[in-house]
Amino acid sequence: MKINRYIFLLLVAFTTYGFAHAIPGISLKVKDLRDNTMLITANFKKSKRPLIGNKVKLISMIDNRVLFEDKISKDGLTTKIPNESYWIYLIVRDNDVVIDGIAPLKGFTKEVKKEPKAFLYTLIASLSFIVLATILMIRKKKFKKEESY
Amino acid sequence: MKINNLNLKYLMRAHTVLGLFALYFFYLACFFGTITVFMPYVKSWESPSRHFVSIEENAKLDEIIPEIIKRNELTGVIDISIPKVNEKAIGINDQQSKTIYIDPNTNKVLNIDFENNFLSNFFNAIHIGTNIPVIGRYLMGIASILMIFLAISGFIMWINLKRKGTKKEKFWLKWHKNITLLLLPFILVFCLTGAVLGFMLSTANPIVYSATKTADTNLRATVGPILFPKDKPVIETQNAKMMKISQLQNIAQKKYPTLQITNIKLFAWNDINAKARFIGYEKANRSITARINRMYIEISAVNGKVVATHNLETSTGANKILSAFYFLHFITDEGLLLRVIYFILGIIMTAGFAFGFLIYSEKKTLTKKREDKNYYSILNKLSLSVMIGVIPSTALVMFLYWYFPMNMFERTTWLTGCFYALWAGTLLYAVYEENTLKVINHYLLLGAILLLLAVAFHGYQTTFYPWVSLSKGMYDIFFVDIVILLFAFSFYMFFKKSKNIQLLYKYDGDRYENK
Repeated sequence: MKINRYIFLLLVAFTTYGFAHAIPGISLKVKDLRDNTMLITANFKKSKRPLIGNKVKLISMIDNRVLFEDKISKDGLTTKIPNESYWIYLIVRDNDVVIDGIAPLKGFTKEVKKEPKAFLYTLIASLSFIVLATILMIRKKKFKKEESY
Repeated sequence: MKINNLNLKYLMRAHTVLGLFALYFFYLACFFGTITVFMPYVKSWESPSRHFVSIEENAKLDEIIPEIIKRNELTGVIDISIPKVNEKAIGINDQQSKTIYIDPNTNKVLNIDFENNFLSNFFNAIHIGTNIPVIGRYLMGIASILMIFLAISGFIMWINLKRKGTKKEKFWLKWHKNITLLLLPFILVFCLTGAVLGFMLSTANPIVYSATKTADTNLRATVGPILFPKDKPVIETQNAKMMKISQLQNIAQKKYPTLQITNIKLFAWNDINAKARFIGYEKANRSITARINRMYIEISAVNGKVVATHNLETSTGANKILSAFYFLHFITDEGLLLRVIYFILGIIMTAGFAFGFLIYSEKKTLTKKREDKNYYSILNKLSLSVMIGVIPSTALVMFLYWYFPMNMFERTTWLTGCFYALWAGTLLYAVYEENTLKVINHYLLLGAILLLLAVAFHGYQTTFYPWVSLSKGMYDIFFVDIVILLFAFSFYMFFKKSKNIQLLYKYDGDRYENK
């Protein structure tokens, strides 16, 4: 039975993987300046060197419209906080880093909540299949052994 | 090489046990690797923006490139990729920005907002094991190393036992032996390259430590400057008028006639020190000028003088060997013929490994059933779902890729999640249903239906049904559709005919002798 336990763990490892919009090694941060503006900074995690010249895009969660785009400089990028829910995209060649945008002082006027559900739902589905299959397997094995006596 | 009987038995046991460990990883690597052989074609099949016939001559590089550089404020080193096997469009980008793709026929920027080559990236991720975080790649590398052992031990066993011959009724053993021995060079290529790419490159620290006399432990930092020397930055001083790119290309072609240009790099464009580097491979020496050892010629963009050349004479032996090594695995720059050969050999190889498992499982079931009539094997069920259950799951991803709307929120997560959910579901079905042949039949029928739907929805979403792509001369897209339909048809035929195949009688639980 020991080998089965390992295989089970392996299967769980297989299923618990989701795509996240993140590049390992690059961190994107946003700081609220408390006057309806924010400071966006990006740097390499290891060397703390800032990214210069990469494009930053604010994209609306409501209709995927580009609200604002500009290139990031050495000290970061200061810009007005939009009035609707948005994501902050940092473009690094053909990849992007995405974080949720922060709200202005009075809150968003147009707000949608897009909660990530896909990972949770598919994870529950796969895990429940695997758990059910494991229970069935063990029961069948026991049952068959008893039957043969 | 003769060894005595006891040692041979140990070897056989090791071959079985290590084979079982490496089997799942190497089987999956082979399965998805076989699909990734057609990566360039799958890439154009999955991107609606690449549904065109690429005619390179129509591209007006002289007009579009300066315009795009100006409009997007590209700076520093600008990389331009010319249409080639794995990319039909012209791509332009600099060190920071996203690649801008241009249709060479109409010279207009392609809309690639919702395209991310999901299918080919996903299959490739499972192929190299990166779908399991952190340890996946190492596991694939270890499986490749074990594969080297399995190949060698299998060969020794064959040498020692070949006088005995195989009994006719041992079908799986016979064909496992025949296939893997015939394909031994092919298998060795992949396990050697796989072991280097998956395991050695990231764990070479002790070797580097000793080779550099305890100065460094990082492989990349040690060999990088020799194998891939960095470009010296070009200092910009004053603006100047540039020559036309087509003129520069003509000069490059004249000075280096055997060069097949795939990329152009522009350094300090619009400056007096500007230069253009034409990068490519030599058609007669494709293997040693593959992706890792590109040839190039540099030309001043102001007066058209040759600044530097890098050809077979100036490249080091290490580069050439490494390039040949990579070429065998990735078959870069190759057309359809070699890819089809790799594809067919890959399918046969995958089947050969599956036969290897069947030898073990049958032998075990036979001996266990003698003691216990109702023997129930968990490993068999698991292998059934891993090896055959992966087929409908792959088909599901291909179907859902076209079924889900392109601008769907969390599209990639849904697609990956559905793949794993169905894969786990096949395990449940394999456990629930006792009749093995019925399970296989149902998996393959589901796979066939999903593949058919994938082709249908690809047509519906892009309006390029197989007959449309054929009549418009888009053979790459037509080819992918036809291969999918062929597989769907063969799965359906298996579903229809499998009950009459004598070889599979023992897996059919409905037959009276198995009850």
